[in-house]
Amino acid sequence: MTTTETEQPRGSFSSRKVFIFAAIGSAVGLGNIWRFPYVAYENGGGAFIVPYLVALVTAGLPFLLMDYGIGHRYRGSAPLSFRRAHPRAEALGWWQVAICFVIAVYYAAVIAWAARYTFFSLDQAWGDDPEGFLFGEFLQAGDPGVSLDFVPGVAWPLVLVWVAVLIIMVLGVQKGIGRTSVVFIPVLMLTFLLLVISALFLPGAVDGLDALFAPQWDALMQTGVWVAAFGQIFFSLSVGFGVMITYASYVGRRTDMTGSGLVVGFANSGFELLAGIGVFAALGFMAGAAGTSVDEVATEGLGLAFVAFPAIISEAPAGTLIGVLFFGALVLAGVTSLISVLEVVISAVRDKFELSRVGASMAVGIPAALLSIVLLGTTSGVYVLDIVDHFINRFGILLVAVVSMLLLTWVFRRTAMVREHLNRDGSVPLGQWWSVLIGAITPLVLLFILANEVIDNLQTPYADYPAWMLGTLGWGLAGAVILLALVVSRVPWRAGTSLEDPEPAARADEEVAR
Amino acid sequence: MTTGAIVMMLVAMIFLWGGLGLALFNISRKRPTPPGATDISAETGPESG
Repeated sequence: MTTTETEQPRGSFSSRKVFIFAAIGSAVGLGNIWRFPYVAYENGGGAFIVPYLVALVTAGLPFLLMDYGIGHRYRGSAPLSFRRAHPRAEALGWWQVAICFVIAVYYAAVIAWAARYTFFSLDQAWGDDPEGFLFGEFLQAGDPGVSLDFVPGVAWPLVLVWVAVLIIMVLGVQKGIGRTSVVFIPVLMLTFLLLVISALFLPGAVDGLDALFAPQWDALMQTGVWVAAFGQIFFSLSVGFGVMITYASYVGRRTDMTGSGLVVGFANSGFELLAGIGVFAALGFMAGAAGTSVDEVATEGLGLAFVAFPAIISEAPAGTLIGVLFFGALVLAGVTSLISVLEVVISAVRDKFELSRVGASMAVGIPAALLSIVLLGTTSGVYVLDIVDHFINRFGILLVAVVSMLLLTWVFRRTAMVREHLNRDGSVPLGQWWSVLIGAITPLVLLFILANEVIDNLQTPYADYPAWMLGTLGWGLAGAVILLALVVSRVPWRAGTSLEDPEPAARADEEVAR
Repeated sequence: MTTGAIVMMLVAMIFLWGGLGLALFNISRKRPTPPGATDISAETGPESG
């Protein structure tokens, strides 16, 4: 009897094409649009392309393939896949699941903001003070702290985002995630292409592109620039926190995963480049309109999206079109990423507790939505988001990635097995070099980044927030997800769940079928 | 734009968009179905509600 015969149907993508769209949808997120352009600009401009490409090839793609290999070989959610890889590895999967739950809670808020701004673009509701409008009229942000004063203009869109996303999740892997991705990703690409074309025709666009691509070669001698490149690739590819493991478990067993991985990796980076061109063309226009240099207006993150872009929209010819395209793109990119992190949690809950798709979606989605609305739909939402995002990225995603890579390579010794699996049907053969990159080079670089982050955050409290906020929502939350993972991993699996590596049985079945 | 900026923009485009093109070409090539390969839904089953 094969393992697949004993288990509840988990669902699957109908084809490799759908899987690739879903994986691109997960990787291409808000960070591609609002983080990459500024990181590149700040770290050597055109010269940054060199460490960026090195990081993509030596760390990003190998790590992505590692995630694919784990999910595809062990055919389960992150905890089940790790459990099947090694009996002591399950907690790593739950650590990733807990991180994804936290990300989903705050990520939904940014999508809700972007959705509102899509409509604000129509009449440029921010007037001539986008920053004042964002923090005042729109978010109604008070002093840093945790407040329960709801902001209806944020809370209601957040409710709508959660309703829409939960419908997608309830529909399942193919009908929900697969179909959404197959529709949203081409629309996102088209939307962004139109945005870039519009931005390139703005006066001053060339100055923006010059600022972004003019190479500062001496930057290549700085460690920080290389660290920034590896960090950008790592955070941008959705690797190391369960998404790619989960998605890969929904793909047919004899699928070329290495070829698929290259498509996803290059599509993600190709989109980042497109975003860089669009964003800096627009910033070039903004600098020209303000009679200043690009250096004065270049920014990233929330400041870029909700302060700089509204200013650009107000000044630019066809600004309304640019606004709708930009914020619409943020919504599309955000939704496909949000459903991917939610799927990590839903898939794990389904596997562990043998719940139906609807049951697991509700068991995960309703608490996440409530927490999201209570914590992010209030006057303190922007502070909660800022702190949680900062800490969970660094001491959640980055830490679990380093720990899992080191444990899988040096303690559980599973990289050779995963490599053999990927090479079986892969169109791009992985040599011993891949194991070296996964087991030594990539974790060492990530460890270096992590150590720098720990030192920085201990020496200088993040953004001068009160210590109790950083202690609870920052360090405390990052620690709590580890504790939660250890506890849940002690809960026994249901009797019907096979904890064996499914590969030997599947290969035996193939022999019989021949 | 300065020459250096144009060159680096082209380098980035060639590597990233060219890499995507090559990757797509690679997976679009017809390959023989591996022996024992089964329909995907037969492996993981239709999703239970």
